Amino acid sequence: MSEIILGFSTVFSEPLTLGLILAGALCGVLVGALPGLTAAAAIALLFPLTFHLEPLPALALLYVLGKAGRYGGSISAILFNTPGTAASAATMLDGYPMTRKGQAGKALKVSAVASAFGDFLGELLLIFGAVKIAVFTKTLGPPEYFAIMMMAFVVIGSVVGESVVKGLIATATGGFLALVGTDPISGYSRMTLGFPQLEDGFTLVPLLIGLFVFAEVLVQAEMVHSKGDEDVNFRSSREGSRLPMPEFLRLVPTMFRSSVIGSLIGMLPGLGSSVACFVAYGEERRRSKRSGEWGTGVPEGVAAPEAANNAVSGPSMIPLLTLGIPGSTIAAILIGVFTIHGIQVGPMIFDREPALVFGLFSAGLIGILAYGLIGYFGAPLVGRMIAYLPPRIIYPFVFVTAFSAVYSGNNSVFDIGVALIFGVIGYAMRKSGFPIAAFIIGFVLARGAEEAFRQSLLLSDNGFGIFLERPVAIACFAIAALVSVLRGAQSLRRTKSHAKT
Amino acid sequence: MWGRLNQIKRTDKKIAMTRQMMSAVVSFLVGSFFLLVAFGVEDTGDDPVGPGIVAIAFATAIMLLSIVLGTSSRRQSENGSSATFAPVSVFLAYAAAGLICTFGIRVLGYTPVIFLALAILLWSFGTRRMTLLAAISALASAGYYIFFIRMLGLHDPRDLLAMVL
Amino acid sequence: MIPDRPYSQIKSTLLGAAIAFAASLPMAAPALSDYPEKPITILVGFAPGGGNDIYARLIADGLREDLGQPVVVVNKPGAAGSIAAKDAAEADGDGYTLLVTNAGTMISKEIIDGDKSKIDSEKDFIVLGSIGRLETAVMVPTDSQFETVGELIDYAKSNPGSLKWAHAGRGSFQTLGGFTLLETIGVSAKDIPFKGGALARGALIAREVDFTVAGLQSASGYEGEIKPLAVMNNERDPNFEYVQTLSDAGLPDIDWSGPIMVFAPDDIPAEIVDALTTSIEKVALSESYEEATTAAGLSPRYMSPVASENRMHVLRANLVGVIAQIFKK
Repeated sequence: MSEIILGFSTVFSEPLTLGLILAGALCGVLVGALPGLTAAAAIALLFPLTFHLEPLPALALLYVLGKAGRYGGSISAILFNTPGTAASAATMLDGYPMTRKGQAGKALKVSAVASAFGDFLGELLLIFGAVKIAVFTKTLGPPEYFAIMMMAFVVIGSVVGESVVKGLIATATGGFLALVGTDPISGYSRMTLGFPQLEDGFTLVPLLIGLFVFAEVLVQAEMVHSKGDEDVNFRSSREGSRLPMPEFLRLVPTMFRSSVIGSLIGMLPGLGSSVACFVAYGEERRRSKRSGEWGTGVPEGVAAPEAANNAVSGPSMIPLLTLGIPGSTIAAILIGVFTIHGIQVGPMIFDREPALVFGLFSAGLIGILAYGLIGYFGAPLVGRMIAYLPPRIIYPFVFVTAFSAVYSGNNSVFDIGVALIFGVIGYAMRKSGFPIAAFIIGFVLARGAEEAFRQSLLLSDNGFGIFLERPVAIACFAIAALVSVLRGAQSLRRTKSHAKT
Repeated sequence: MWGRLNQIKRTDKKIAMTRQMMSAVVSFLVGSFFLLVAFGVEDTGDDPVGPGIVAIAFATAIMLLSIVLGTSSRRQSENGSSATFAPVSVFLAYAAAGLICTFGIRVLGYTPVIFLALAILLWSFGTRRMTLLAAISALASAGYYIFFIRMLGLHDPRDLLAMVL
Repeated sequence: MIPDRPYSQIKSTLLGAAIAFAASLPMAAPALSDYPEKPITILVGFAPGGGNDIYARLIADGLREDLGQPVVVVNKPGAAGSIAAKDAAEADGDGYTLLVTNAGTMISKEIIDGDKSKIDSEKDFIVLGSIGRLETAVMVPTDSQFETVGELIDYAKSNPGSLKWAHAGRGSFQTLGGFTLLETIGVSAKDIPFKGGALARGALIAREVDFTVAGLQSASGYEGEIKPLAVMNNERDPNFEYVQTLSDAGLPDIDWSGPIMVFAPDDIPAEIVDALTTSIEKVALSESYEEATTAAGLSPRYMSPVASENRMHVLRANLVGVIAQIFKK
């Protein structure tokens, strides 16, 4: 408790830090809200600027920017069907349908509240549990990671979409493409077709921007051509902007469960918010009595992934600070900021730099409050303003913004090409009913799972036996099996009730 | 071909079926291409699984699943997949803007690329008044220049404006 | 100002007009006397925040003050730094595009790629000096049964193949040092590859493996978890004075430090080389540079262009053998 008081007093004694926290919150929301621009790109660009700041203001700016950007990404996901970050890829599934129903304002409020809620719980967990959690996470090895990823995969399964076969094809395709690049075990490059740019594998950001943003530009172009300019606009009605208290209270359990899921995933190095949002969405959908309505614009479908992806933010600092393992681009850059200021990341940091570490955590809490308020009151206004701009103006801008974001990531022309090609692929997938979310899940999980699987077998002295020697791994496999059985029973019951009617 | 599909807007069962068949065929081809690539991975023989096995498994799965998809294509088209495609002009504009972005950035630099890509896409999206189109593109590319290059410090491979100014 | 590379050749049909436009612009002939007259770009082949990047930013800071022009660090991560290296090799040799990289990493990648390598570091670049180095070290968990590197080696000798070690990937420069060490001493241990040093360190902390061979600076901040046993160099690292060298421990002396070097394209005029070499030497030996690098847990080590070039030859000779062994074919 005394540490966090120290943290707050540090932050409040530095006006610059406070100012940068607010700037970070505002920029993050704006950057996330601009379709095509990602928070990770903004942070990579801002990194050189923080070089000349003191450590705390520099870190606070980027940390809050990352948090606000995770939330801000949901704004463009909801309004334009283009996720602002990988973390909001699941938010689109119900967020955009809500916009189409004229409930954009409500969706934006739900996402602001859920994001801040999840983020807050995650941050509290970080502040009060970091040291204890670190003791646990540092004991995990490849066998545990493999089991955890398999469990995540099974839980996510229900997001796969209408056609199971098409969902599986999309997942396998994503999984295959994730394996392109230097083989982590042998060190040889594989399946790169001779492109040196592919030696590190496909980068997630260009892939994501292609599949979601560029594909959406194509879809909108088609709609403009087939419908003219009239009904493509979805004016948010006054009714659709409101979030009445009873409805909000109904969302609280969903937000709470999703925050717990997000926090747990955040504690584990290497999974990150793109997995968390889908796991939470999948799990809440499975629990829901109206799971059939998910995907048509239910507020729970926005609350679950948004609470989860922001809940990742705080706890993901635990593997970052204690193991030096970054869970995301943003985290990798944060490590850089620490290092450049001569602060060695590692378990010792809590003892050596308590004012800095807890100052950063307090900055996080202030940042959450700031972006929550900006989002809750500001986003619906933006939403209403945007409604007056016709898509024929907006989407060309979406295209060039996305182009700028992709290029800024690695200064790579190749990445732009990848994004453009995946734009066409994403368009074709949407036209033929292959779920893009399933593709992304396959892509995100396959690389780490293959690596962990093969490392486990290398470590093992008795083949697959290694997975049975690890209690954590056994528990994860058991949960995966349980979820599969439950889901099987559920769909069996549903087919039976269908057969009766 | 897209154009023709565009004209036949009725979601016939027949069309739905052929479209499903098409998805199956394309998936199968993608799967077989992946399998071919995966077989090209050399086995280094020093770990129990090897660098190619998981990739081969994914590729095979895609091929098998696409056979399932093709043979079970009795059902109607799923919701979410509409039968219309964008007209060719949309793809041409996309390709033109894309080519300018990829190949143009090193030759022309960032700002002209933004200007040209915006102009092409605005035109393709239906803004046909040339003065308006030019005005929006010019103003916007100036804005992007200020925001990305000047404020955020994005590296411009050929900063023509800096040379001129 | 026209890129004279295949790049424009291939696309010339598509962008003929665009190129003609660019060609019509006044050609800025390098006026040697007033170099530098515009911002200098330093390419880094790794993401912001890593060892290479931090060295590059610190030297960029110093050069900016000394030369009076902005010095911009541009990160082009990918393919173990070879994408940035290729870009730097193909840039105009006008002194406005430089490359900062760990020479050990660059040469390793070049040898591993063999005929397919995109660069030839001997022909494509001129070395302008070394500005620091990253040490390779043998490390164990703090509660390990091994107190010295000698004990570790003895155990490995009497129990061949029973020890496991983690590393940052088989193509990594430090990993190749680990293989060289084991090979020179004649012991066998099972290697477990990870993607990058942080994950390998994680495996060590989780006690999945018995030791690692990785960058020494990855131990700072982890003093409670990790114990570096020996640094693979003939002198101790100033930030880790307590860590023995291999010869301190009575083992064969292998120098596996990775020097961070500044490179320029080979067609750069001699006057500009002189200007840059002088400036780099001045900055790299300055007090402020020493303070900044030490604060970041790195060590400032200046080497002249000639010394750097010699070091590159030694590295190349050391790397060829071990790479042929690991990457058979």
